[in-house]
Amino acid sequence: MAETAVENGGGGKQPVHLGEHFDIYVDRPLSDLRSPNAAAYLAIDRDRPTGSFFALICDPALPPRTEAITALQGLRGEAALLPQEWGVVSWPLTERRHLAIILDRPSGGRLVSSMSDAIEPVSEDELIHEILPPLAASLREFSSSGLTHRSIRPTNLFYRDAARRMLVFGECASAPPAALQPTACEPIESAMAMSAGRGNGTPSDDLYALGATIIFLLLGRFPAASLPDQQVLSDKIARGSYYALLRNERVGSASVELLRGLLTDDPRERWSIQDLEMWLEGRRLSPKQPATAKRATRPFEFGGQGYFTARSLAFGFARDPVAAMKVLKGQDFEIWMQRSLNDEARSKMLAAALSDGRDVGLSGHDERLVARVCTALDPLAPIRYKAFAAMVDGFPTALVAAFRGQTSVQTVAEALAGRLPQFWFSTQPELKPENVPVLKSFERLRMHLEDRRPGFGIERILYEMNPGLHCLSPVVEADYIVEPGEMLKALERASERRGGDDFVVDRHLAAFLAARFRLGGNDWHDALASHEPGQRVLGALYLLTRVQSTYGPASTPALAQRIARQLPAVIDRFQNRARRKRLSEELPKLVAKGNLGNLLSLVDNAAERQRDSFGFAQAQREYAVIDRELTVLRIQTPKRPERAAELGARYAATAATLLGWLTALAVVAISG
Amino acid sequence: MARSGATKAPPAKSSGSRRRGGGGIVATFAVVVITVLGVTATPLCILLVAGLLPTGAAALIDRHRARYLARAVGAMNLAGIFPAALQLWESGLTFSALQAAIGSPYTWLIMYGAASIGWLLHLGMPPVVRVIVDLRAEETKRRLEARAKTLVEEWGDQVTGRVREG
Repeated sequence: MAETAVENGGGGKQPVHLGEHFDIYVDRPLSDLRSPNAAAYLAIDRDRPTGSFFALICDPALPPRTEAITALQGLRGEAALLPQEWGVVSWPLTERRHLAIILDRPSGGRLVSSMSDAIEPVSEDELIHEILPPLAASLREFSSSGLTHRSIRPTNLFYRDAARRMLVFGECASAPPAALQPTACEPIESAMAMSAGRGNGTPSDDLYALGATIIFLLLGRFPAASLPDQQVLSDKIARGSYYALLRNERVGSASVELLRGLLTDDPRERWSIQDLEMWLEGRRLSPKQPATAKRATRPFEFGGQGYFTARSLAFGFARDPVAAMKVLKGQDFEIWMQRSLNDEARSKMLAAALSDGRDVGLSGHDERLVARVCTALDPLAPIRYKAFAAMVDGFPTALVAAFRGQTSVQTVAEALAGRLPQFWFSTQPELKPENVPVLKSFERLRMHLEDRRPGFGIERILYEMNPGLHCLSPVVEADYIVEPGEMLKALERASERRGGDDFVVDRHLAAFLAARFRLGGNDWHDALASHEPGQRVLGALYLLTRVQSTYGPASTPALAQRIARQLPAVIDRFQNRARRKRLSEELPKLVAKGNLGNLLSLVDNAAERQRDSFGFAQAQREYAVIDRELTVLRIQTPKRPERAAELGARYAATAATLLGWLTALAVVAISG
Repeated sequence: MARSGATKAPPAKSSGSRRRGGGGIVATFAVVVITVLGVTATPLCILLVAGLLPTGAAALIDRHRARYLARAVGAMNLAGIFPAALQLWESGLTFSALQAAIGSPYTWLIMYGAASIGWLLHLGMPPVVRVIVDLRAEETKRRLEARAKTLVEEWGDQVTGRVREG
């Protein structure tokens, strides 16, 4: 989080209220308690002023774990800093809204602020009898609740007491799961993913992170702290995590068993919470030997390096997909797979990866092929496509990060369109029941991707995958709108600020409401996608009218004013000029009332529309008749003298006949 | 004979043949009537032949198919002869009565004057009708154009069907 923007300049500010109890003191930053993704401030419970709390003001750039926060509130968590209260607050220092989380304030402060810091080493005895039992109990509680911490690292450990005896886990809710974890504290699979795409993972990932943290506690420093992340990861893949993290340092014999158990790279072999608890109770287990991956008899040369295992080769391929594609088109790789690696399961998956060519001809086909091959070679690894790498359960947060500029949105969309998650599931040893809906949801979301209308596309996937994400539309982003019911108020505020601009339902706004407001119907998507401005504004009006009628507020005059400026395009759809004039004159009166439904009734009244089109059709027919008659008149003009002569002669003959008869009758009458 | 001539005539001349045919019937009828009258009422026949000379002249020069000139002149000519013929009839169709009738210049004035009124009607009526027809056409045009303008004002140019909507 931008420290200067959030933390500075709070002198003399009124406290910000959160919920019914808490005041957050804008002018009392607590820099020692800040998280990389959230600034910390003093918070006081008005009902319990003696209680000690602090607030984290989360950076909106990365989504907090809002889905987990409610569950975390229910934990007892003696050895973890858990949310006491949370909610969205207006933050005066940034003049925008943020998610704020209230936590118990640890009196003893943070263990270390950097992985390169050093502390007095903790003795094995202290570790086993004082530090680990409460931490293990806390992890047990997380695991029992179906939660993972995913932020266990030396820099996120705090002393709960002022005497600095009881270590507790720091907060785990202000950022996506494991997004702030150093590579050293993440299992190989998770460490290969981009930071925002590591996913909730499993309790096993927490135990691994605990193992890495224990190394720090036992040695008082981190042996691999000075190494770059890629180096640490490469070492883990090549030599195993135990050796890569401990390097050549020595720890006590009891700790060796503990660390080998926790740092086993195969998640199925790694210690469980139960194993850890049993070990802490004194039941010694047989030491785990580092599991060795199947090695080839001879290395496969790629990029000037020799690779012996499928995982390491997949890692190499993922780092250079262009070169990997060249290799895949040759025969050496297949021969190496069959003769040197001789791993039947990998070979089968590789065949499936190479044959799954349904997207031939589409952009990124080669890269997707490399991605499938990488998954086939290392099924537990994240999905790696171009510069994107995320665990399957990390896709949602990775997509948020992409929209926040950390990677290309297009790349994520291509990965989804290329059905890479589905292929990943097909390579797993077993499809767990809890993953079936996830697999189906990937298939369903892919359909959204193919729909280009506003309310669908990659933005829709973003909000479907991240139910707690606020709306990223530039219009309301700063308002941190999580619920559709808050949307209209935010739009009204935005309209008051930007009254001069035309109102546009952008793709984020449309996708957010489509995902969160199911009562909104589907008929507005086509209207918003229309090339006709009148149709687009009508679509927006339909959507917002439904939001207003469902959630209120009843009056949004500023928003109505902005929309009304674009309504002439809708009114112009009526043909009758008098009707247009009447509607235009009535518009300002309704705008002042601010009810969007009334605006809609005015400009899109079905009966009025029908009358108009019926009248127009009649007028067109009448005009055509007139046109024909005028044409006939024009055609007859040159013949008119001739016609008049004919008529005149006829009338003369008739008149003479009549006159003759009358004369004869008169003569008869006179003479008779 | 005229009819047989008409059937033998080439198609281009068929309308003229028909005209001659129509005139032929009238002429035949006139000859028959005059012959019958010449036998049964010679004075009346003489009066008619002398009095209908303008009609005969009109019939000769009228080339119109409907023979409006002949009809107009003939009708008025007959009306002009009628008083003299009635007087002759009342006198018993005698030659002396005929002599008295044709000896009077008024008889000629009435017969030929009436015929000339018919002729004048034929000549004067077309210009009058022309004026009336022109006035009516202009009035119709003005009314239609005004209504068309009203429709355009009320519904826009699209109502003409010559402007693309939107």
